Amino acid sequence: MKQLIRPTGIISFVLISLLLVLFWWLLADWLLKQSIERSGTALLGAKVELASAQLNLSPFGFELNTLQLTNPDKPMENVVEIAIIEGYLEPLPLLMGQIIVTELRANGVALNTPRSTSGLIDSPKPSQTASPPQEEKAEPSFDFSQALPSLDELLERLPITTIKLADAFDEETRAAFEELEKQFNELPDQQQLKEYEDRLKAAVEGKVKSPQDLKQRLDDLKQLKSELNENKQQLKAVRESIKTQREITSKQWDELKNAPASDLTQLRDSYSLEQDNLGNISGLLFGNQTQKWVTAAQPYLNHGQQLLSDNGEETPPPPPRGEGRFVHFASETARPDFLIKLAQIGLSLSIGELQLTINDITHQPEILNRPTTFTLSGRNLQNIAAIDADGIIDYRDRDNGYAQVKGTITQWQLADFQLSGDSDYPIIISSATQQLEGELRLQQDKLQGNVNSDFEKVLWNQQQQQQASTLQKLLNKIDNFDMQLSLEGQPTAPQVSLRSDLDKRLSNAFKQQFSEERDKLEGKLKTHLNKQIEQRASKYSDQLKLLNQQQGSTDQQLAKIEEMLKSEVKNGIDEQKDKLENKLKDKLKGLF
Amino acid sequence: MLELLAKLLKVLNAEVSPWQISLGFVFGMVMGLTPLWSLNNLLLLLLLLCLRVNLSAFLLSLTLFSGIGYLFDPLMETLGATLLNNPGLVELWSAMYQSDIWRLIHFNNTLTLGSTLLALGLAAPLLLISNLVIRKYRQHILAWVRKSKLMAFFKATKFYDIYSKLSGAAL
Repeated sequence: MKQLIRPTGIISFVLISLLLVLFWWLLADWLLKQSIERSGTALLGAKVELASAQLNLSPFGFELNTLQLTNPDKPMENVVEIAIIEGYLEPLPLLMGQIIVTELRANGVALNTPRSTSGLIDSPKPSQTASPPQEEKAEPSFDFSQALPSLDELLERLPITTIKLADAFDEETRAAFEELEKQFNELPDQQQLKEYEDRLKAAVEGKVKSPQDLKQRLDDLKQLKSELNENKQQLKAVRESIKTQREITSKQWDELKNAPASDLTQLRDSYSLEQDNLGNISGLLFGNQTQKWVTAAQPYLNHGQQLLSDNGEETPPPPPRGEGRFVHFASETARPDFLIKLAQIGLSLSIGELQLTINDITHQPEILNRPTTFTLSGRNLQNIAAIDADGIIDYRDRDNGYAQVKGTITQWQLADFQLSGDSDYPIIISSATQQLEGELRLQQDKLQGNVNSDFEKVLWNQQQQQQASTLQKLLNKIDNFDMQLSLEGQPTAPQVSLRSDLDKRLSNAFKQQFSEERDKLEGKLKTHLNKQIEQRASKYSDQLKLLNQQQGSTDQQLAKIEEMLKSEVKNGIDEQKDKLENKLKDKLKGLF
Repeated sequence: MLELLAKLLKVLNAEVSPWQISLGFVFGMVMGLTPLWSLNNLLLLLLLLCLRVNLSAFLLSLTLFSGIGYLFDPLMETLGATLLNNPGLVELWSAMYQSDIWRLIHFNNTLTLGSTLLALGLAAPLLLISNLVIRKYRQHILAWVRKSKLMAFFKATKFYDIYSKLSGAAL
């Protein structure tokens, strides 16, 4: 037995153990620093640097100073820089291969800080889940002035009845009057009438020289009667034509006079603003800018989704060589391999100090059986009265795991806040007070979120206003509005919808403005049409006068001819007949 | 490394018990195959130092089996994972899991379990085989080696100088 036991063995064991502990203790700080820097760099794809690391025995824990995480996309910038991290560990779980941090305090956490040296690493950056390059979306233009045409455009676009009728009036009356003129010219003139009178006198006056003379006079009178009858029919026909044309012209004129009223009605019908047409003005106006905000937030959403998806992997990657993987079983005292029970992080941002508290950070929430929860709060910040947010990441049931955050921003004093990135209509709020509350939920690769914000005491950018666009004039009348942003769909490409009471208010204001503009256009159109009618009114009056003159002249001629026919010609013929009878009687007496 | 081999030759040629050498081999094999920084290996170190086990054989075996362990790491990890996830054994593992002592020796680590079971399985055969080989070596091979031309050549090497210094005697 004595040969089997080495008496100095235990002393050697103690000495070796002490040497190992001493060796570990001397190198522990360096090992910790190297471990954090190497594993962090490998994970991030850019340099992770630590000024110093220190292990403490009582209380058992560590302290890290000036931790810098380089932004992989901007090597001269840190994505996060943390001045001091203090952590307290449970020693026993460490021997079981578990890291249980009872409390972690991080102070002086600053984002996007500059670096003195490049944080680029030599090895090629692992290809992240880069979202496919997004196509450049054409920025929608919103030009209110195009809603109404100019007068010339309007005359081209709309079938204006007045113009058509006026043109038809011109054409038809011209043709009708030419025809009337032609007929009128064919009527017997004064000279012709004088000739008829002379012929009548010659036939009825003077002494009858012989029976033959008498017979000749009678034939002349019959011939004259026939011609006068013919002229009478002509005059009657012309008079009828004049009467008809007067009726046609009068009717056309009445239609022409009434046409502007129907044209103006047509203008109103054609250029009216229905509510549907103005359903989502805010989406049209602010959609671009909102999309930019969502695009800016997308890398964080993608990263969050990636982290949460990794948690739920069915087949985890093989562990590094020499390490193995711990398998856990049901136990009342079961602990995950890694757990931070409480993390208190002081964020030093440009807006001020924010306090982030996170409970139960672990990649094995099903073992802990508690979700990760967090709260964020800040008071009296630059331009913001308060920020409050709380959230939960619950992946205990991996198939139905979710992450959710709710938050409010109280009295956010906005200054030169770009609300619309539209190149034609950049809308900038010079100053306003904003109240904002939102909720975001990510579950099973589906993102759902709502952000409601109230803008109060809004002053719009005066410089933009000087451009005096219709829209800016309208916005200037609005000093408060609300806005609701909704996100839904895949985190990589969420559907964004935007609603605002600006829709209704801008619609009303725009309608009012539109009505004013339309009234102006209507006035111009009315003036233009009335001018068209006025131009034709004098012509119509002249034509009417001419018709009246022609009718008067025709009536006179007709009266004269009728008079000649009725009295003089008839009497002359009767007289000549009597004379002829008397002469015949005298001759017969002489015979008998 | 040369010194270690020289020491091994010295041990093999010396009057050290074959069991002490074999046990050194076995301890080195167990520590080499299993994860180095563990409570198990600390206990093994305690045994190694308290028992009269040949340390040269242990160190050589540790070096050799550390390399073999690295090569067969995935295999041993798979073995451990298979056993830990075996539904028929869950009850056993769950019972052990309730004890901090078992958890301190990382029984629920796939590599620790796989490599430890493999090492324990190989321990007895290695102990017996190595013991037999050492005895045979001393009986038959050592005398033949000392007379061989290869030894003459070996004596002219740097390695022999080291061996001579360590053993204080020539072959």
